Amino acid sequence: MSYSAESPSSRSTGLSTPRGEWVIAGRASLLELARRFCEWPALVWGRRDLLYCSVQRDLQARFRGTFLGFAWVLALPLLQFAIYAFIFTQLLGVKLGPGAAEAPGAMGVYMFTGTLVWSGFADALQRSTSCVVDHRHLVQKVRFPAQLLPLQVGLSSLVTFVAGICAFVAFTLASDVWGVPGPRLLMWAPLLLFLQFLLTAGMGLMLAALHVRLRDTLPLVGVVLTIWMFVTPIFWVPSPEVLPGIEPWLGLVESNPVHHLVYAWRDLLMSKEPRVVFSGDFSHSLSVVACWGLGLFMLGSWAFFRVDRHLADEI
Amino acid sequence: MSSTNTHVDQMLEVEGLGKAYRIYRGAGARMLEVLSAGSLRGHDLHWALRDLDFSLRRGAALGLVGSNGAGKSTLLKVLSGTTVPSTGRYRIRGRVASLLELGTGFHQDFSGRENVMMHGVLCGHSRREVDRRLDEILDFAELGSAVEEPVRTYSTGMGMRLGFAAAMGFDPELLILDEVFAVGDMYFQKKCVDRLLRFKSEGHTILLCSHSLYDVRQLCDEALWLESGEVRCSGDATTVTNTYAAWQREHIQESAEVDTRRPTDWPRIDGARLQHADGRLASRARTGDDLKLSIQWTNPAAAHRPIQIGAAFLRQDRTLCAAAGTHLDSLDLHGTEGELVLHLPRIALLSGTFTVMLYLFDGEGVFRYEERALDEELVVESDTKELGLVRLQHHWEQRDKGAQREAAA
Repeated sequence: MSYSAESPSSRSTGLSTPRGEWVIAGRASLLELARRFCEWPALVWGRRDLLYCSVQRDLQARFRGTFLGFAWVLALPLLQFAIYAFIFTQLLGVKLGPGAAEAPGAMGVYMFTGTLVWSGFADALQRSTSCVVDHRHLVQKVRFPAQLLPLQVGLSSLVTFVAGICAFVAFTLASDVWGVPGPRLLMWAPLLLFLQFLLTAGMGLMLAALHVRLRDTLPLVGVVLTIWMFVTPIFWVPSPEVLPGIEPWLGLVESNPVHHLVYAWRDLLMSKEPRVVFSGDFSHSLSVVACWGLGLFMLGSWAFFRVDRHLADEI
Repeated sequence: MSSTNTHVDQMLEVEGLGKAYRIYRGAGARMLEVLSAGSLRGHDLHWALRDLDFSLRRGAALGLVGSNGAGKSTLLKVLSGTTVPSTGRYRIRGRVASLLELGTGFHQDFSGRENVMMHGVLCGHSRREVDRRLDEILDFAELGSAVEEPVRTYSTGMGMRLGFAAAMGFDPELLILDEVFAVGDMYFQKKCVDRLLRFKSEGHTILLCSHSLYDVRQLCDEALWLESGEVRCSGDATTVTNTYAAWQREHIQESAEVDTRRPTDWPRIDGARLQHADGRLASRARTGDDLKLSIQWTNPAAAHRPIQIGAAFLRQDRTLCAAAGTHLDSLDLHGTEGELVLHLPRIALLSGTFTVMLYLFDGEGVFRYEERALDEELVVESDTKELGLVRLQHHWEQRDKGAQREAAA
């Protein structure tokens, strides 16, 4: 069952295309792909209500029937942070670096920011891989821009992530476990969030396109994500002072875009910590994330636009 | 399907349209094809549609008929834009709404209201616009308080109502319908037909496919008969549906012969006509005329397969006006063939256009071996200006006040 506001056309951007255009058979040319890439901003703006509603529905579906409802979006990271802070700081007394003078909650905050960024990223990738197949009831019945599906998954994981950051800031305001992050957070967070979105959505588009053709993609993504999680400094500190054997591997760690994403967030949230523990600097990490984000988004769009004319036939 | 001088009048133009589906030889073949970027072909092509050329002018209604797998649904899918053509091209000048399979596209865990909202924004409307139309849509669907319940609690009929209401709710100019009347209760079917007739009278265009030739005849001006993805016949709805029905009857016999090496022993209606008392064919009649409906039937396996025959008069908007059946009047049909005459003295129908439907039932009057409409519709005219569907037997009596008081006492 479907309805489309405008006539179907080969330029199926989902925007109000001029009526009565011929819809033709054949594969999309490279020029066509490039044109569709340039139409991304207009598409997202034109279909903002669709994105809003589907993100809302996504979150609703997750917490439907619970007593707290939407409050879980805040409550989950809050509880998570409380647990990390309690275990690593109060119970185990783990320190970030050996001998460094550091605030008592540092390890808890380190773990929390790491898992918050990682779980948002991993969850979005896993869900966007299967998003087209999961929404086959829509894709086969309704004409709508299917390229918005992976974007919507990326957006809703971003909403959860922002809620986590807010919960963290609220926690630092309410207790003295950790200092309140400075104004740098407000300054850089929007840009960093945008780049994080490009990175996630780009990979999501690519994996969704691949999964439509090759159903083995989803389990493979699960395996790769597990390995990826352990090679990314989520639970460990990438510094020879803390992990003596890490020296030869630092180059590899450096080439991991998620490491830079995690680092940038830690830098914003843990700016009080002495820099010696972290190897790196914020602007470098930011630009690495930007390059990867843009590159993967272009690659992902190209991969998705190549198959999306045939989505309904393949699933 | 008229030829065009002015292209602007064409709502839909289809040129050389074809659609092939890939049938993969297996998961392994598919993987090899994907990994080799297409250089190792792991699929065969199945052509569901070939070389279709037709057009549909604004304000017309076109019905697709054909056997299962003839390509009707594929064509509707391509034209509604969920899949792209493999050859050729088409264009549509106007807003399209399509109802491909009933009740689908809805999320089972969300309420009817939430689903209509989602449907609206999915089709490119703003939330504000959907909000504006939401009440009207839900009113039409007549779900009552169920609109707040999850769609998984709905019956098929309720899902269909909501789907139909949602598709009609955003002022489409071309409506694409796939087997809409397959489910749903009679009341709602009628409501849908009324809505569709109104939609048409507003100058909008309809493209539908149905197994019910009756629906096609009632709603459509033109019809297109598809067989194995190709156009077998096109033209005005009555001619095409009758050609198709004749072919279908023959084809069923043929295939039965091929399958079982003996003639089919299924009962069938061989012919039927509606006549005046003097034998003239009755395509026009006046209220109060005497009519007779004669039906020739054959039932080769009469011994173990009793049959019943029914006839019904339906007004153009599908209102059932009257029906009669041998099973309702406890009449047995003996023998392997015969002619049955239904005498209809002094018909009470008032002015209108009626379709005469014939049904060939099993002995219990449940299973329908055959269902067909008379080729010609019956147009009834009345001498008086009486209103309504039928003329009731009546007379007036006038009493004065005194007589009334007397009667009361």
